[in-house]
Amino acid sequence: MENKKETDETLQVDRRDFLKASAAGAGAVMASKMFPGGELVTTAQAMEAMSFKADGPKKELLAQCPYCGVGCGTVIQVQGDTIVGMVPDKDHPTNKGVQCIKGLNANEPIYKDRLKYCLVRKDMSDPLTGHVSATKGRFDDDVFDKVPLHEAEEMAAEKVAQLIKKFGGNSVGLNGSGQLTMEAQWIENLLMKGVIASNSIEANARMCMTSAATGYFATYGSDTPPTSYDDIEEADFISFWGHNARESHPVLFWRVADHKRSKGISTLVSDPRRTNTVTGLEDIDPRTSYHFQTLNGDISYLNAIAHVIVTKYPQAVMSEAWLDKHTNNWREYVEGVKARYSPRQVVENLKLLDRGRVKVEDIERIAKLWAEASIKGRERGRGGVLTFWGIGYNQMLHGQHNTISIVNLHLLTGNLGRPGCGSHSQTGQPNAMSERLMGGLTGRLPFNKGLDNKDWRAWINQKWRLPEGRLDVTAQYANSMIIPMMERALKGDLKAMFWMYTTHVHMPDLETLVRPALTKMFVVVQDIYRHAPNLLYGDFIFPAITWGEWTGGIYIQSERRLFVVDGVCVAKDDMGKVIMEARPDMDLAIDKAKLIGKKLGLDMDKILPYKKTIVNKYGQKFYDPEDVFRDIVKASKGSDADLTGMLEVEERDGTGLYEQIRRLRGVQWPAPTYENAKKGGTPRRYLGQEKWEGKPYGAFAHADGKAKFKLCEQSYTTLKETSAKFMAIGESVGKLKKQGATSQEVLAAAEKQTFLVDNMALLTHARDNALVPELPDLDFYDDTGKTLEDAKKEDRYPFWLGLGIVYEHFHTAKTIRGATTLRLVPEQYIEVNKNDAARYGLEDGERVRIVTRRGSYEARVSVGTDSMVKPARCEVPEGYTFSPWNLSVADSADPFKNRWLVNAVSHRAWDPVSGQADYKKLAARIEKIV
Amino acid sequence: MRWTRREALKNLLPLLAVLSGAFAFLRPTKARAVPIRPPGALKEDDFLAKCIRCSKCVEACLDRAIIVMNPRLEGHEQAGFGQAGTPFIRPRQKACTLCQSSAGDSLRCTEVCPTGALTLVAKTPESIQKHVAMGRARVNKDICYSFTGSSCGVCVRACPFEGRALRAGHFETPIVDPELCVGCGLCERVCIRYPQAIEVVPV
Repeated sequence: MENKKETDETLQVDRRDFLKASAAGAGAVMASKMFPGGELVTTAQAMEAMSFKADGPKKELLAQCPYCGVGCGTVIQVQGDTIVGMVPDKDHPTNKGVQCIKGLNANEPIYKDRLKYCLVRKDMSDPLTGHVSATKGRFDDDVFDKVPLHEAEEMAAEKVAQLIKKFGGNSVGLNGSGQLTMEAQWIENLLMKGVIASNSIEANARMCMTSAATGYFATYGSDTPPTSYDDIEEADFISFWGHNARESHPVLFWRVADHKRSKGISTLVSDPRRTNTVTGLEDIDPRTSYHFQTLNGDISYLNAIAHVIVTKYPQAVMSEAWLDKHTNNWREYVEGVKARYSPRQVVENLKLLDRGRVKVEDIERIAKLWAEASIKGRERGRGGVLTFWGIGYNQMLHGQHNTISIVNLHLLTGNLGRPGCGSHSQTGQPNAMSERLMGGLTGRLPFNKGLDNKDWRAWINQKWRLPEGRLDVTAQYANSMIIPMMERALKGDLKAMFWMYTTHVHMPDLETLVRPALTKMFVVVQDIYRHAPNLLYGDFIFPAITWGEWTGGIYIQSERRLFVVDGVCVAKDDMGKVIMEARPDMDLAIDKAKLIGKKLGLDMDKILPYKKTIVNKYGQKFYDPEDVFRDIVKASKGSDADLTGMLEVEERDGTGLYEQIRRLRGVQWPAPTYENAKKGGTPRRYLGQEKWEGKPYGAFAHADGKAKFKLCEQSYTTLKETSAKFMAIGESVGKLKKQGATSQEVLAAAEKQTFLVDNMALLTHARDNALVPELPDLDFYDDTGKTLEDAKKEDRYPFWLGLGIVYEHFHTAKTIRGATTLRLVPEQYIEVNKNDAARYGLEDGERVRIVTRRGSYEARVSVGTDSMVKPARCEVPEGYTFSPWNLSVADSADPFKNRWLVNAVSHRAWDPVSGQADYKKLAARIEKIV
Repeated sequence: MRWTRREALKNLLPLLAVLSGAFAFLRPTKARAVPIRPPGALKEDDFLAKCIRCSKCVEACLDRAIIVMNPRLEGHEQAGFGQAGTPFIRPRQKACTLCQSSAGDSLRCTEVCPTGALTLVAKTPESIQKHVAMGRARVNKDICYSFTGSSCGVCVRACPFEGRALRAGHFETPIVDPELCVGCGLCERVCIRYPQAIEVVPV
């Protein structure tokens, strides 16, 4: 009761005081004086962001921005224990004091719509009895009971333990997040693979970065991006593949743009749309800015560039001796591109999709620039070609091959192992790299090793303090990536799932696959928002503490930089009341692991010896993430992500692990020695860049120490019949859903549908020929007599549809709750080419329904960059349309009100190795709403 | 009776106030503050002469950007003599989207104006450029995020003539072309600074 009194006193709503206190206060006070009565809508909305009084001394905390994978340093401004503002960190080497609008407003969505209690669904799905809940798909108050935290934890653990005992550990799954801290990712992996002995653990990194990760494994032998952001300012030629960097990674883009402006380097963007990245670079110098407007042809164009370089610029190719010494399979690669990938052949082969938008001369010009930059960089010992690729490039059913194709070209021309060049995958999420490094994916172990690696398995088994042989049990289970996991659930093989710090809305094919699967399973959710989409399907729901409120932790961004995410150690709701039941995700995972492990007969005090040593002034007790981090660092010894130099620094200099990272503004892994850790880790990898001798991880991580070439092929000869098979997946269930079937009927149909896991040969074939999941009715599109009504009548799908993001928002949860960012993009939209709009009578601003074989959503038509539907601003090619996925639940997460859910229409086809789905090439039609 | 200087000033104050009020009454109309008028509005004097305060444009405005000037309301203090009851726009609250009812129509408010106080403006870039001059965007470089070390650019993305009237320079700095800016205020409306770093000022 004491606590309650204290909080009530400090939290009286007083707008004037808030204004004085808040960081934006000075400005807001002025504005409110100019327009008394708070009529100025924007200021009023800004104040809604936090409508209670913050009290206490001001201080500043260091953190990595919670949004994209650039990983800017941000300073959290705190008053007492309330977060009141964000400012960029001027001393951080990544952003050097620059920040984009998402990061600048990252404080706004924290105290909004918070989940305050543990909720337990009254009518739960119970795989033990086969009962399926009738209330899944709803999250109103009346479908839940409020249950105290400890009781709810005990009940959930009991249910999961029963399921494990009856169906085996692998019947329980988990989907984690690239936004959890490194420590939480370590613990969730321990919980699943160690305690439950399940190999069904995945993370949203699967839809984000795994194509790059598996591409790196295939080529370099380790998921280790070799570059740093500092390479930008040294590069002679920079290209972006499937990467609208200006919108999705603004700070990265402006570093490139700044370099282009001062040094006049050439740039290339490969993207189906004329994005702001394209126009931004053209603004600097149109003569040195190039654009490959391709839908699916990246592999072919990269091979064609190699063809031109090999045949016309042999001096740009590394010597045979070098290639033999450092690589394998390069001869097959060179033979292959010479035989099948001349620019002429490629343009001809891709005509069906790319319609000649990329020309032979374009490819030859880029090849020339690539060759010149490579030679220049090699002669100087710095610079060369630097290549970025984004999530769009990874999200293809041949995503791994996309990455390999880039690395091939870099190996061939020696753009690796010196400052100013290299292949740089840009992660989408702030900590996706750590999710990969912590092995929080099926079949993976921490530190870039597989679950099939017996020695490393034993090492991690020991470091996780598990009974001997525990991980050998887990290793027996076949790997199962997230989309196959959903299919397994419908088949009855996967019974229960944990969801941590991620939403199911990011996954493809929601209506015919994901939601029916979640309806059937027993689902345990950790979330921060009361109206988050996961609550629709959760049976047990635990309130979590979010970024900025944490007790500390580590994020790793795209240049392998570990940085701290400090926090205020308490969660508050929109009235400033402390949420007493909320815990950090790591704490929730530890407590669950302890409870479940005990029921399974494990000695949990030994496995998880962590104690709750952090106590806040409200009496909440938390585990110290630094204890977990110390265990992580110890376990990294001998891996190619060895961080143990930091332990030496701690021992010799007495500087704590987190404090070292704070002082250096980040440490780039690996940091295996004292000297190395002292100066901030390793900026570049491979070919002796690490400057240490005799370490097993200095060379490429394949057994022979060499990198591998792999020629990735593209051939459209089987495109039509293969796509036809893909397009049938989910179609019948989608039809039923469109007719208004109940969720029970949809589930029954979904259970009987054809599953892609049973058709892996089809996926592999599509991957090996670099095909697309769906092919629109191009004959229908080309028939100028056809109208939109005809498409509906004849059930045809004439348009390409690609999904992506809109600049002002990050993902689906936070920025749409921040007052400032929410205001900027109020509505879902679809970008349409102006010729298509004229031909089909689509007006700018008109509301339409976008329909695919599996579902539909509503949006406003946005035609060209002059559109009044703001802020749609990219020009799409003819026949292609685009909608952002991060507005999916901006109207409402409640399915009865939600109309913008774009992933209702997407296709589940995934890359058979990387598991990433292809969101970019769907077949859709547009229906007018009458 | 001798007045100290202070007292003299004090006693003169009411008189001064009355006089200044009278001068305000008598001052030439040009000195009156010009508010942001709906698109296609004539020059202020002509506009005031023609506008019959019928509020048809206010009703036609789907975005509710056009409001009626009422000196008794807070925030309408700028209303000068003879301006009460006339339509105007405060872009920070709601900006003009230059809307039309359907393809081929003119801007909605200009279509309903019975007196021609708002000239008919066709919904084409050329016509809008020619007839619409609600004001002009002005950037306050001292507080604009993009001019002070970060990168924002939301105003540029909101501009109906993006890349022309308002384009993004390095680090998304907004650059206004005064010739092409029609003063719709969408940039001011979306600005994430409080107070706004970009503002439409009457021409």
